[in-house]
Amino acid sequence: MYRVARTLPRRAPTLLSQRNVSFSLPTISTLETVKSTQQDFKGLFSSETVNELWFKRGQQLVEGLNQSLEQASASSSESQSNNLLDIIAQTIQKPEHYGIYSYGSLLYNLQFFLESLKENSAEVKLSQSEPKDLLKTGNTTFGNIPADENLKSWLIDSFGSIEEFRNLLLNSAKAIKGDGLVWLVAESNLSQNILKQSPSITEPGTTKDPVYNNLAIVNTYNAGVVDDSLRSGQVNRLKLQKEANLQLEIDRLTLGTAEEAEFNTLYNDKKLLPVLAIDGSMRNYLLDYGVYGKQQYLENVWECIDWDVVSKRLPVRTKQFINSY
Amino acid sequence: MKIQTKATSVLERTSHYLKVGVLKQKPTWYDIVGAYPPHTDLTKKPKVIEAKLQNQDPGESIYAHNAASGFYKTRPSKHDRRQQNNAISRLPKLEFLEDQLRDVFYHQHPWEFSRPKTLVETHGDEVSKCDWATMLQFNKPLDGESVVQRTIWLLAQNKHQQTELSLFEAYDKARFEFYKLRMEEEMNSTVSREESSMYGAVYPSTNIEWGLKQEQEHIDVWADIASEKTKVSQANQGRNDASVGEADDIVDVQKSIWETSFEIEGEKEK
Repeated sequence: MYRVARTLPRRAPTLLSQRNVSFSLPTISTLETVKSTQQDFKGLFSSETVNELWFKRGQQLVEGLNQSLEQASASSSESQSNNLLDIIAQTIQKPEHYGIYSYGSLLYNLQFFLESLKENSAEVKLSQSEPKDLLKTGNTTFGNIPADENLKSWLIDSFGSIEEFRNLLLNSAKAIKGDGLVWLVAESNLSQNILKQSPSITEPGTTKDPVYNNLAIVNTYNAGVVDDSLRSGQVNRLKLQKEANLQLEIDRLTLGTAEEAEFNTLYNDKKLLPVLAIDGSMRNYLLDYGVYGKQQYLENVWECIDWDVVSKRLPVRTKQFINSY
Repeated sequence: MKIQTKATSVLERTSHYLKVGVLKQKPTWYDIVGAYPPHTDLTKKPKVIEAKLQNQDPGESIYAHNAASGFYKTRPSKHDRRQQNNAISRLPKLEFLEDQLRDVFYHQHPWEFSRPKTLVETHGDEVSKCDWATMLQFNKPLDGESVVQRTIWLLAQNKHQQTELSLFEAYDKARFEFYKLRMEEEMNSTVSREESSMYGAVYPSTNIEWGLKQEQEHIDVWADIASEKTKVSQANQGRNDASVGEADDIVDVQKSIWETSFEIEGEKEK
């Protein structure tokens, strides 16, 4: 990912079109204290890992982002916002701004993940894992259950129980082989026909605020973003490209694929709002837990989730008043 | 010639045969057995006979003099002729706890049978490589057998540590571990698929579609054969219905029912 900026064609920046504002590394208070006291992030990371993960990598991402923004502003005259999310939304569909997009979203994801962590008060010893740890079945006993009743009941309604939610969350994170994050998102299910017909809710498109009634778990890979309205139809678009190249004949009688259906209906009026992210990438556990320590790392992450932050991020819950089945 | 039961006399007898000329060539084992003669008789004999508790020929006791009646029995009764000790020749029923657990598990999870399983082992001792301190194994995929073995291990561990754990508790513990691992496995494959599609992999057909395609190739071949056979059998039915001995029958065999009826109508027109 870091190499992108170097491979982009460099153009001599003209002073006139130079971008005035540049990004700097955001401050995350918990990590700042870890850095200043040179102590471990209790229960999860050693101080060196925190330094590598946030202060070094974060800085690299910021620099990369600034650099590619500079290059882009030299070549185009688009209006530029200083909000990271706006930048991501503007650049995601444009291959020429790939560098900006990926640095931006990587920075956003990293910040989102680290901001939702707090130190674990219980004593946990970090240790390097052994090959036999691969065979261990995950722990069934766990702490750090969200205290906020609203969040807790919403989790239980969406996933069945806190235990099931934890299993799903950690399994999704564990299954990521490369870089990627697992997100807890609030989902608005406006595409349900019954809801559309109900007079109490305005038609999507003419919308008032989206109605969130469900929590879900989503994975993103590399510099992926959660927002479905942005990323919708990626697979379909890729397929269409390939089909155009191959000039395949499409049988009109066959049913469409799942991707097509998804593209046509699912994302039109659906919105995902991220509330929690867990990074399942290797760089997070290799230093402290070793090659075989992903399970242990994820279990420790669970104990370190700051549910207060998650609660603050949650949108207003709309209880589903019509059962669709 | 009387059947020789004594292994020890094999050398003596063979040398006799050689001397007489029954055997022309010396057997290859002859010299070796001569140098190291067998000193134990390996023939198995029933203990009762060795201890002289019973005659070697049970008939002798049947026909013995009956002191009470003063008669001799000359012919065995139906009872005497019947096989007396059936239990000795019957195979014992082997009962294991593992089998009971397997039975319970596969009754509760019948779809576990539908998972493909390899029965081939290189040395036949794959089980010995497994350590059931954990349910996952390097040498063995996760399946019902894992639950059984893990339960047994938990029970043994429990006995060792002298804690209270019933068979059902041990089984449930193993079963829930199994569920947890299966969930993990399933998530793993889903995420793998998603991840690789994000990296550009395209899946032109689902597993089911692929399976149907493979099946269809064989069905097509079969359909040809079947349609031939149907024609023949239909034609044969036609011949059975027809009157015997007409020369036209053989021609009819090659035609389908539709052709036949068509022809009859044509004849009527004539």
